[in-house]
Amino acid sequence: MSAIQTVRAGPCSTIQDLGRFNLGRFGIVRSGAVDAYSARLANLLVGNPITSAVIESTCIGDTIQFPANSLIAITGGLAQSRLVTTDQQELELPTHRPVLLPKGGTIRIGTILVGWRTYLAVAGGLDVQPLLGSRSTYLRAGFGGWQGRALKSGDSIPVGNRDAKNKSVQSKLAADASSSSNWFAPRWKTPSYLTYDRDAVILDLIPSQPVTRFESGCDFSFAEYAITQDSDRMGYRFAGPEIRLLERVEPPSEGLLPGTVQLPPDGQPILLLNDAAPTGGYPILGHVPQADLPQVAQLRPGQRVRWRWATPEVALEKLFALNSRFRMLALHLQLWLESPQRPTSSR
Amino acid sequence: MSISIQLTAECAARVIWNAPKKERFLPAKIQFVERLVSSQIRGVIDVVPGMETVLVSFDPAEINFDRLKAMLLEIDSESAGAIPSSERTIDLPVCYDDEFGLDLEALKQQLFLTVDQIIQLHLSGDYTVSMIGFSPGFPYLSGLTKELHASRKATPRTYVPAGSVGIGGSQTGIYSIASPGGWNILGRTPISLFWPDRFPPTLLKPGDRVRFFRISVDEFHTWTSQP
Repeated sequence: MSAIQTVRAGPCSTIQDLGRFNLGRFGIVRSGAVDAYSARLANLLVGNPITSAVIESTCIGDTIQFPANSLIAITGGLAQSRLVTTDQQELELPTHRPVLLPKGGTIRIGTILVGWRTYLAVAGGLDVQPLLGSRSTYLRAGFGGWQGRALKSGDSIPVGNRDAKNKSVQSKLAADASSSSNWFAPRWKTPSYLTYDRDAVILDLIPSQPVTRFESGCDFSFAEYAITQDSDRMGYRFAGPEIRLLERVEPPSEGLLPGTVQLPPDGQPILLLNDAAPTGGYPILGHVPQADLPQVAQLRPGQRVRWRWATPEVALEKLFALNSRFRMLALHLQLWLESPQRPTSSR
Repeated sequence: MSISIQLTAECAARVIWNAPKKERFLPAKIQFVERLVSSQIRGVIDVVPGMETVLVSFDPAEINFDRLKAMLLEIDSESAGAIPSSERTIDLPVCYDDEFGLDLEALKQQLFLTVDQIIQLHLSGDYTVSMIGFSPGFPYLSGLTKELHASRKATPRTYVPAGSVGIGGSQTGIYSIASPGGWNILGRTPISLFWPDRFPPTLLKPGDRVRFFRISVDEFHTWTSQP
């Protein structure tokens, strides 16, 4: 078993997998990658089980040294990514595909320019101690992941052993690459699914049951809201016209999900993400479709949004489309792995 | 007593008890959740009891709502009339002294009671865990006397220490981990309510009865230092 070293950590980089499930009845937060699609994809690309632990970095990526040669993939938000070799060469590093790094290499992921979070998977998975069935970090309670906290400079994160699947990706890369490269990567990359708009992004919202009723003129579906700066892994806060409900009651606490949109007394909606409490007592306006959450999690503070009412049927279609998109990528990766090797001279 | 099941998102079913008073359906809700969790339905991702509802989240690629709904109704009919699992009573030590009873002074005005009266009323209560939520292991305890029903703090504290015993509306509860919070704090217990490395990870479960007994600051600190 090897380890990777954080030379410099971003402002909020944590170890996450897909989260803790079936523990909401104990008040335990789900946690896990907020853009679960990118986390799964990063693992898929290096041949990991999709439930392996990865590094989620928000706003700015990390500088990480790999003492041994390593197979990695960077997905999610777009940032300048570089490899610094042991002889201090700096090279552009490709993302959204598997990359084989040389021994002693250091990767430097810069400010995230498009999207808001990047994911880094390492073949073998980050092998921190699982807690309650997951390796995810829950910052507020300070448990899980790496010592229950965000990564800091000088951390040494253990990496699990590479299995046969990891090795097949690795040997495919090594065979396909030219001898002059410092890193080995395929020429293809998986397509970006990020959504961004200088105007307003449209967010679908399935109205809650029971349906909330609004004071006339306070139906918020036409107004524009901006994501505020105090948004984090617990949720996005929005600023815009005050939403007023017809019946202003404090409902009894009930179960919440990543994707639930709540309305606190100040009339500004909150979209809950993975670190939100499993129960809460604010009125619920509705739920964002699960399939939209990976894209939503990539929205940046300041992004303007508009809301659009949707149905569970629309949300289901989106979910099945996202699932089949992921299966197609997995199939393409498998075909690439099984494709005949190109002679090195033909590059 | 029957249940209704609503599809509240494409991936979540909301179970509601059709009963006039929530005290009545607490045993039924507890039974339902226990049976639902132990039946391990494929595709069910989480079961989260609220005060009057249970949210069942599921993966629609594994199970569709109609099938889930049928299974939930069946579980409910099986749990109807079932004897509730044995009731436990748990006695928890609380230190109400100044350094822990952060809001006792402020509550005097709001409740028209002396600090001693507030403490005595809180100690005399016989509480039931109605749900665990908000944060890991945080028990919502029903049974708070009306005289102690107080509004939440206008500005929530950004930091409430772990073990803090508070009151909010008609409930009393214990901050199982340090967190922000808006309840009025009466005291603190040295007992840990959340153990992340055990299963089940919480000291209390819905249906448990809880009573508080008073300890001094010195006792509080010796309790803390025990393993």
